[in-house]
Amino acid sequence: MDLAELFNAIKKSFCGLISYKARPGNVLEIITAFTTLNSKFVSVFLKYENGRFIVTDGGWIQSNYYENPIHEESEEIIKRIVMSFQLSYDIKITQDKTGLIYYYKVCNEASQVASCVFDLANFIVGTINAHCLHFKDEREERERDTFRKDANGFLKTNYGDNVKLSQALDDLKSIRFNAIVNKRSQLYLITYITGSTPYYFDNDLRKTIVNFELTERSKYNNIIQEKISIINNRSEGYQPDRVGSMMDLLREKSTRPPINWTDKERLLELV
Amino acid sequence: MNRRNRDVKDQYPFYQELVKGKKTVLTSPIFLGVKPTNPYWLLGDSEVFHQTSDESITVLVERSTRENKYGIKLRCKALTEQPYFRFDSDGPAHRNDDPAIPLDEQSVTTPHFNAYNSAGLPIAYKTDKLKQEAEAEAIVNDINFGLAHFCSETNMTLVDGNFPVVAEREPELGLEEVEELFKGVNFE
Repeated sequence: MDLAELFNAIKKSFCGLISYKARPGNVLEIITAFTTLNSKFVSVFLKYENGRFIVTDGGWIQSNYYENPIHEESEEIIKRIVMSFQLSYDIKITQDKTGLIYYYKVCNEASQVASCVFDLANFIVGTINAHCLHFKDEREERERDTFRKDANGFLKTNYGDNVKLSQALDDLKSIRFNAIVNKRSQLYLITYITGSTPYYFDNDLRKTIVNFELTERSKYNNIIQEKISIINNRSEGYQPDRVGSMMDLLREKSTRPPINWTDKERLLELV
Repeated sequence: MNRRNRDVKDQYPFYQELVKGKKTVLTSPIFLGVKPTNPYWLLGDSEVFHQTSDESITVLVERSTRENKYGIKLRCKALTEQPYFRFDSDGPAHRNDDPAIPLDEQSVTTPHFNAYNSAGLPIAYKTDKLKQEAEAEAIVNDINFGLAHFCSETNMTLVDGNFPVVAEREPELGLEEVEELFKGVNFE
């Protein structure tokens, strides 16, 4: 096997991927050999204007022509990643009168154009791929959502209009409890503790401890009858031997020992 | 990133029936109005009646007012949330990343159709018409030619056997031809 010959075939294949389309106004779309995770070939646009070569994404990133998924909850991290790529490849930004953002590079010499195209194409691949990736733990999200729905359903069935879900106290608006039951002008604060891994479970546990502690500063403290947590003892993150001291702290900050989900009817005796 | 559409994979004969089965478009002209989620796009749709399936099918037509780009899609939510068949007049080339296809043939530039294979993976292809430069150019530049070609590819007509057409509610919106790309954009 002549590997050098094979190299030539590979090179020919790679180069065979690159093509172009002539666009209005003496603009050339270069369809590069770079692809994104969602199987789009990256295009860059080349324009010669006032003695300079401009290489731009053509507004395709912001127009979502690459059809990347939109993960609003990961917006901040995606922004940081895109910013890093922008700095690394020295990419500039401008916008047209409609507000459409163009990413671009400029050079004065024809010999520099290939390098600009290479950088911009790399930038586009990185940017689109950052949008394609899942930064959230999907399994955790799914399991958390399922438990929340189950627990919400249980409370709604038993307390009807007396229960408000995902509710904050008026004077502690930044702290939401999974549920607040209001019975005869007495408040019962309820939090859920779950997690598909010990890491997520511990996070919930810590959050509950802090939130219960903070309610002592609320003007409603004297009408808070109970502070109770429901523990998803069927979740994989529930490992009681690991979190002994934190459980002790939780008991200290709650008015009742936590209630296991498999024993949830006990809650009805307390609220 | 898993791009496999499991709904299509699991119901592939149904998918094929939805693409190739005889269908009737119930409205023509399909009026395009400003897309609620994007002011620079126009959107219109029509119900589609399928000869052998009672499921609700919609044909959607979208056109950019910023550029000479449009898309046509078929959607059947009983099959899958995503549109199950599409035409893109412009935009990036798609990669059919199948190792059985030589690398330099894996790129399918626009205009092209997007469908799914039996594994539920998206595949793009060009019809013979789209492979001919003059024909492709006519389709790219005239949304009604594109709609007719889309209907012929997906076995759809109006009740009278003709192809539907699109019309715009607000004809003042973006009908001027794009003479120069990036005109007036300040690349400092």
